[in-house]
Amino acid sequence: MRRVWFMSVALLAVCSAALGQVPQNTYVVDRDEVSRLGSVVQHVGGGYRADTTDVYVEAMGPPASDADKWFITVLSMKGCPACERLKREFQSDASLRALANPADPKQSWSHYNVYQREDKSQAWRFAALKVTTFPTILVQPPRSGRYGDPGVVVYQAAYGGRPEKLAREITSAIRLYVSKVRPQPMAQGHQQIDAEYGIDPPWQPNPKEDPLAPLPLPVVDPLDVLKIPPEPVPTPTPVPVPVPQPKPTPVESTPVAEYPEAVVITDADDGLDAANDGRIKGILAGLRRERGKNFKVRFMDFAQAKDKYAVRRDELPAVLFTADGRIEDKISGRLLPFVQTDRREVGISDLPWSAILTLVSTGFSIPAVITLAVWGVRFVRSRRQAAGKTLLLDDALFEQIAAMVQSLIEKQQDKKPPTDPTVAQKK
Amino acid sequence: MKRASFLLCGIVSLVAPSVSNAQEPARPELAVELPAEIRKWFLNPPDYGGSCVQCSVGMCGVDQNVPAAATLLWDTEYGRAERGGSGPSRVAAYCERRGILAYNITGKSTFDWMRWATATGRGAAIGAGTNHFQTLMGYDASQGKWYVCNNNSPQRIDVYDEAAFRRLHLASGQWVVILDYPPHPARPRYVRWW
Repeated sequence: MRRVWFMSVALLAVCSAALGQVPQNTYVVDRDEVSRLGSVVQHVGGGYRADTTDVYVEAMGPPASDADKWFITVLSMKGCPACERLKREFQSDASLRALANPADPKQSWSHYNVYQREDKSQAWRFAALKVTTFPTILVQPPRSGRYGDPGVVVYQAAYGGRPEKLAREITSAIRLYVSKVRPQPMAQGHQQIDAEYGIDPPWQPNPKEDPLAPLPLPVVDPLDVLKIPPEPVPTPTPVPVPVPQPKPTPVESTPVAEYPEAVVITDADDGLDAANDGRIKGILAGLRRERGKNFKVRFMDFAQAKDKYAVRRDELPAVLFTADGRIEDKISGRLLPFVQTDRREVGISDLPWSAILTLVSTGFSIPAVITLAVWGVRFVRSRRQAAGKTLLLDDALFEQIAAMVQSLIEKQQDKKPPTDPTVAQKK
Repeated sequence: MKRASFLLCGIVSLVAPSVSNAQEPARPELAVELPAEIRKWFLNPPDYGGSCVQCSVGMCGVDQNVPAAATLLWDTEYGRAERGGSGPSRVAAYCERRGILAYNITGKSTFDWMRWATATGRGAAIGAGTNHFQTLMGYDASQGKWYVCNNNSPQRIDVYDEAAFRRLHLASGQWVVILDYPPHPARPRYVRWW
């Protein structure tokens, strides 16, 4: 019996010590320092300030109550880009910042809190919720009880990646809630109003829309507390796939298509000097040749044109090429000297001497013959133009054909096997 | 022998703390809403003569979801463990180091601050008892009751009337620490309000 009593006393002593019921702390609070300080309010944690106490001693009382603030809570998880994006957008997006300002909690319209799914110290708070996707946003009324039970979920949704839409939905939900639950007289302390609780959430969480952040699959459990079955995957409804339309072929960049109208803007005060007059006439003549009789030319004075077109006085004389009233191109007075307006005549000096040398040195060569033929045609066209005769092909088409022939020649030359230097030596 | 064993078991069951359920019902009179299981994390460690100030601040930290404050007692990425006794200057120092925003209040206005904290849904680490710090969990002005959690017995919440609480607070000197962060939302529930 003595042994039993001894054991029970020993066990009691061990239990007491282990539970810390009667600690013998000799020094845990520096009471002397508390006495020395007197009445002081320090706001610490935001960096040292030389005049900390001076500033805050002036405001010894506590700040204004923020018990009337609504709560906006973000349920987040690690490794979730959409969660990070939402948190950033609460800082940067004006529509969300108007609801919750994480950078300035005192000025924030609501109490803004972020809870991590992985944080076991907070998981129990959301045990009654069904959270199937992250981030999830919750909105709750103020703690003061002014808008009823502060535990009521006024809004719950997943984040779809559009901050304006989220802000609009939150305000709409609050407006609807406030229309149903009239503001009540302020209750003392933390009165909560009992209400009948539903089982299922009244909102179907929005499906994840953020293309930047593929959420981990399968859908995660809410805060590791409740086992939420994954949302049934909806059978995809057949969406009519638009038949791929043939790509419209780009319009040939001919002057006709690009420059339906030319507007020549001059300054009536300064007049038009002979050189520029000649150049402008050359441009117009060239365009007339290509456009034909449909080509329109208008002459405008700067006094009228300045209101209609973006032209400065120092750009005059200027030639504008317009389509549907819009300026497509502009040649200002400074560029006129560099514009080639006359056709370049083809003469003996343009003879392809390299082709002739090839024929002389190596004998018959198709590329050399074609090069000579192209020169010949150009030469004949030049002569006919000089004589005022009509051409069988216009300039654009001819240049296109010539370029095509030239590219064929280059391809033929590329296909030719390289000459073996050893073979050449043997010869 | 059997009787003795039965007696022993009975005594032990009375002494041992009751295992609380994390899903214990919400208590609207409390500003700090923490299940007993979490409060017990902040049992005052006996080393270094006790760390009651950090225990009290840490309990507020976990309530307001401020990890830098909640982890004061341990070595974490937020800083090394802060163990041992503290005064206002040490609290100011480690709050600065860890970037914990807090009101560090001494003197006459502490009662006003404690009322403000509980009325706005915040807890407070307060001087309570001789050379001791505890966590103010709530205040019911209509009943004149103060709710305090002692980090030497975190499994329970002690209730004091106005006079008793005044004596308790003055016994340690008027000093309170309140974290300058938003309070936690009330435990959310689905209610058919629409």
